[in-house]
Amino acid sequence: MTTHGRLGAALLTVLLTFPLTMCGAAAPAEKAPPATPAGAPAPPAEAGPAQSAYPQGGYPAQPGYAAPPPSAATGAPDQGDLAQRRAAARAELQRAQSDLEAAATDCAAACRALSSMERATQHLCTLVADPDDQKRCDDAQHRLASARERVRSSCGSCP
Amino acid sequence: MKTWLGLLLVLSLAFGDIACRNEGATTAGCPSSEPSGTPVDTTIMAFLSAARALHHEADLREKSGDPAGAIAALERLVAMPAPAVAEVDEVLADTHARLAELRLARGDLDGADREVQGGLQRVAGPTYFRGHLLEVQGLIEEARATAYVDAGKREEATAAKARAISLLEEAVRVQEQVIDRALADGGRE
Repeated sequence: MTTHGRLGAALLTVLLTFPLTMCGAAAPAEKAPPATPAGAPAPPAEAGPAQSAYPQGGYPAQPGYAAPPPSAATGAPDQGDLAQRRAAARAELQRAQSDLEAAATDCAAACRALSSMERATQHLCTLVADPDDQKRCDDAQHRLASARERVRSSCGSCP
Repeated sequence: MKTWLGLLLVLSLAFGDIACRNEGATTAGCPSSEPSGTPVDTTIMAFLSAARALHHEADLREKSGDPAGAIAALERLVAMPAPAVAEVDEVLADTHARLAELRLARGDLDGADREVQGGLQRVAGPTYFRGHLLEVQGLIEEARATAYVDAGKREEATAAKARAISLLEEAVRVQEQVIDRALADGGRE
């Protein structure tokens, strides 16, 4: 996969993962039954830990209610899996960004070197006075053409 | 010249701005507010800032038709105490190359050659800066050959021309290696 491809894939993964996580967080708030009978205030000491234990959603075990089904049965990934996927996506995104930045830097260096190579070859060939000089000029021009093609294929045009 | 001035900017940002922001709400690591911060970074930042300013001054003087003023500005830079790091060596090598070109344009071939030698001491291996210095040295020998021809010194002219061709060939090879290395990771994707 190309750098751009990796960057795109990582971005897509992140974009897909974050909304999924947000949905997972919102769903229990709507569906979770009250922990206490209607009208009875929930003890603060219990509400706090329940929220912190499920910061991104989930179904806290409640007395009198069935335990939530395993995530595999519903098709929804569990929180640990989501966190791992998010972390992996972030890492992939960072790698892709680094690759992209490195590629831009490498192309700038290659273009700069190519310019110097062009100037040197031009001067070398103006000094040709005999067949041996001509051979050296031809060799430099061949190297220049190869380098130019290599830079073009890897970086496109130089500024 | 703009390319490495860009490098200076990037380095300044890298050493300065990011270092400061990474400390969160504190200003630890910021050279202006934390005297006990990393001294190497502060020195490098100061040097690069001075280099940027002096090259800018040289640009202005060149544009206003004052090459002697441009040379003077760059001489102040190469005379500064320089931190021993690769980035600074590259800046100085490029400064020597620019000085060599300015002296060459004024016909000071020996002075230009001294600048090239000074620059080559700063960089080793296949780097753009070394290749550029070799390229400039080739131009110096080319100019020397022309001067010898004008003076009727054919043997000296032939020898200078041979040196010019060899140096320019070497410059081509060095820059070819620089390109190969720069694009070597193109196949990793």
